[in-house]
Amino acid sequence: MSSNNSIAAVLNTMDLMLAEARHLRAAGPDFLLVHRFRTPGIDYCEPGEEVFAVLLVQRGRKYQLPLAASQRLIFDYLAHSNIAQSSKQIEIGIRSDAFYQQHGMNAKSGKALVRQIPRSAVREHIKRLHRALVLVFQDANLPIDPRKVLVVTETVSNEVGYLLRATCRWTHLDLTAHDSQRFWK
Amino acid sequence: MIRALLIDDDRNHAEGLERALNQRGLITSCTASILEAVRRLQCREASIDLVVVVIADRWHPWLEILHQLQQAAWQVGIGEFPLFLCVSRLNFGTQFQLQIERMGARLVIE
Repeated sequence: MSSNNSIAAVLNTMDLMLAEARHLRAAGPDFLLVHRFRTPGIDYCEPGEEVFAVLLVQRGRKYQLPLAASQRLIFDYLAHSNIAQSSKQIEIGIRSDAFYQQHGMNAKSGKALVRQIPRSAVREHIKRLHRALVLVFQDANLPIDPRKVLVVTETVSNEVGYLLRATCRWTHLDLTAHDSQRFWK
Repeated sequence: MIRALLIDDDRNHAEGLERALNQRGLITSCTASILEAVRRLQCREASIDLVVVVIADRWHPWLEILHQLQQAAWQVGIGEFPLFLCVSRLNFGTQFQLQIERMGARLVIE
């Protein structure tokens, strides 16, 4: 390859990478939230399902966020909102939503998967979510600051709000679907 | 403004690439030493957006070097992480390119 052509190839690839990074910063990373125990035939998120996993999708690969149940619920809750919410609002929002209050109950597990998330615990869960984002972004070599994805916003008082800046999609695994088996291992 | 770090131990080649990057509006600094590049990536003050690694021989463990550079960038702490572009002057084959891609970097063969 001639010198001019080789430099052009380098610059083209660089432009592609920079465009990819700009898109990532503008739209946020892509997450796939997996809900399981859906009643077959339902085409929306219904109470009784479980937030089974949160996956980062990057260049066609999926990376699972290492989250406990409470953090998966907070992530799912924030993924549904484009407005920053305080700890208290998150607590009340989760407590008043039948989806979270009946979390996983389609699996006949009783309340084993239900989590109550008090306001005082939200801050700690957010820290752990940031930590999980750091780990998964490192694993995927994603050039983005986790604090710009799960954003802590200030208010005019000393209260802070939490906002998820990301592109989120949901997928569902039915209670009895054969194709869900690979997720169950 | 995008800040690039160019790692290239061939001065003539580095000058050509640096000129092209600067013409694109990047602020480019250059080093021939991997250790120096690691040191610069670990430096909190010098924010780097793009690292260009020129692969010019077959005897350096390039994948290990790339990993070492990425680790250095991550060790700075929570924050923005630079993009990694490898420019190879030799063709190492598809498997090598795939490994680079799996590390989140990109490879161009000159």
